Amino acid sequence: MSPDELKALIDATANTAAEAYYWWATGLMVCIHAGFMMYEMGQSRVRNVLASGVKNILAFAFMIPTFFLFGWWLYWAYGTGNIFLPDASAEYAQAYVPWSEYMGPNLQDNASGVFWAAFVLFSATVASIVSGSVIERIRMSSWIILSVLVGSVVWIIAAGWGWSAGGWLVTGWGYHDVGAAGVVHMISGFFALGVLINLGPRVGRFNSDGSANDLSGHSVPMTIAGLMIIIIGFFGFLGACLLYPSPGVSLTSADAGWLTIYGTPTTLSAFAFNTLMSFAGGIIGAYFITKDPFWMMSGALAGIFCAAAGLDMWYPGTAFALGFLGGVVIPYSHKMITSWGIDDAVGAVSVHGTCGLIGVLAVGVLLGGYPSAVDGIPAISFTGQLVGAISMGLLGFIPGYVVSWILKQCGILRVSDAVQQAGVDSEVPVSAYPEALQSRDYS
Amino acid sequence: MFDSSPIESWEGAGAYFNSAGSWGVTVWVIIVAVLCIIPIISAIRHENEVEKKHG
Repeated sequence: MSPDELKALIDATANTAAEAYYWWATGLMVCIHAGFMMYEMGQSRVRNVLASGVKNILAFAFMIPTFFLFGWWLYWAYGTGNIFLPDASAEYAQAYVPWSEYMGPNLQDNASGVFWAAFVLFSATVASIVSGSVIERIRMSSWIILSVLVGSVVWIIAAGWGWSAGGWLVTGWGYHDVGAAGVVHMISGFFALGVLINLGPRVGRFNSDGSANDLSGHSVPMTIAGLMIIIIGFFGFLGACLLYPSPGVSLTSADAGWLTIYGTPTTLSAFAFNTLMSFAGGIIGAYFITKDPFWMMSGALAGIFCAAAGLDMWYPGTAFALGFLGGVVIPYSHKMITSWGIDDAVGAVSVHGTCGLIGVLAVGVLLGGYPSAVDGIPAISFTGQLVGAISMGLLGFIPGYVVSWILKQCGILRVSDAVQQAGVDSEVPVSAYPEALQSRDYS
Repeated sequence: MFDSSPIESWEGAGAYFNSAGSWGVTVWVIIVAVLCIIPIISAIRHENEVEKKHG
């Protein structure tokens, strides 16, 4: 076998291995959705359980065709430095219009389908995060519109800005957010905040003096198990944030090693160290403060998000400390948001918004000076991370607030108080539990 | 802000995590140990309070 034939064989093997890697990572990410569904249903009262589940399932389903139609195209059209308007002339944007030869079975292309699929699951994750905060009072039709907006438009613009080697935040400011603390978690947390302001609280959540009532969900064990399943899914999510060393995915030879989404070198081991250490830190931090298993498992997520932006660079002890900080902060952050009269049913604004913000800024504070992969791109700096954090906060909040305000004016945002009191499951043709359980008063 | 990068270029880089090869790592190790010990002490106090409450 000649050296050229050997190289061709190695490249072909690497391409098919890459294809398998993203295929299985995508499957693992479905666990995020399954976990969120359990989490939301557990946090719902008996009369709203199935409506919460249907809402979650529909978000997933609508994300797939809308991401095929325009979400994937938006990523590439914003990944060349444009801020406000997409760059339709960009090479990859032209390649990923839905009628392109790369958007379907193609024997010359092992990468596009699995890469698209991984991004669809990132999108579904974004929608799922927002989904929990609005349970028990949002109308299904409005929810579908809002989930498509955040999952197939808003977050993917953020990804083009700051999660792509050619995005303006990266090339102009050296923004570094390798595990998507800003582009996924800040976007979804701040989008949820914008929606919650217009949506208003569940019936009975607040008293006339502004004090809050506890509207506990019907199954804490289901919630906790759901959160643990989300953690399993995040191993797929974070693994899929890396570029597999193959010509088809990272445009490098098979011996180049793993690359981050920015093209900087890294290893799966780096992600393994820091994902687990931040996960543990979050649980222990939340246990220290609350002793409450709901916050402990939320702390696990919070911990990962606080370390996510620098997952490729942290010393594992730093990741643990950041995770601990996340676990400690979330109950207080949630309490503060509740004191503003905002009813976030699962603490998503706190866990994702606050901890995403901490994660983005922590990179600026602790990882300043790291070189970029490509000449001419600024090194990591606090200023760059601050600009990124402000951009993510605004890009998440403004569309969520404006579109939910429009839906509110149209009278289709919120389930009526009467239906809330009867239970949103009134809109679902089957029952969640046997009659004996349904007759109990969980209000 | 703290400019903790131990490398200036990716060319030939080895251990590149923050504070690699400096005293900063020792500080982080101590922080991890302290953050593990404090919650254990907190757990003991919490359990004692619950036991006292239940006689």
